[in-house]
Amino acid sequence: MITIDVPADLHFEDDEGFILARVPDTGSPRPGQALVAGTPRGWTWAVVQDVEDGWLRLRRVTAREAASHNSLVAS
Amino acid sequence: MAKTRTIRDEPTPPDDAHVLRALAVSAELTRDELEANARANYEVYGFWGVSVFLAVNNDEVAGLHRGKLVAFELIAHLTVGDLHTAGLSLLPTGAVPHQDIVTTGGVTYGQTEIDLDQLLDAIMSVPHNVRENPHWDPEGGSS
Repeated sequence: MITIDVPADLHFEDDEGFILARVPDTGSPRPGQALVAGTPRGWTWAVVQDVEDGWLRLRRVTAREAASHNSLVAS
Repeated sequence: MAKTRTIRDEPTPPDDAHVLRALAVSAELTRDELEANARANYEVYGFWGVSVFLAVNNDEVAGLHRGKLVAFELIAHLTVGDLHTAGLSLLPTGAVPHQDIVTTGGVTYGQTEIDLDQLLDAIMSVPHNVRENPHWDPEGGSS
């Protein structure tokens, strides 16, 4: 079963097409970090573009690109 | 946060254009998920709006099914005409194909909780059909 790192509505995009998601209660991921965003019914690999005022901007990526950023295995 | 939202200069889409929103929480379109998105939009951009993707023909529908919505098994399809009938508008916000469903009249700042209820009631009254995504990738479109 997939672990959702950042709950997100994958429709909610900013003016540049990045997904916007609140910084999770578990803490803010760092820019460049790969993670899983969405819900258990629909999720995507994403990389954190930047963090501002409690919001993450996320870029959709493939699993291959996500793996190039960091380990994808949940600890 | 309250950022200024970019509104694209586009003609109003035809009544038979498709408005797509994937089912991210359950097998039905739920008011709760729409409300969560509207509240997020308000927090960031200062108005009530619900994010959807617009497709004006079947090729664009298929493009969304295998693109931005590939991670979703079920997708709600509405039409522009039915949104208008319910007193709603589409606002071409952000980057193509993103749109916001808003109450007719477009962006109004300083809206109230009553305005939010009216928006959500209207959206939930719009006829829609739920279709299986023929391009669904349960691995998040990761390949």
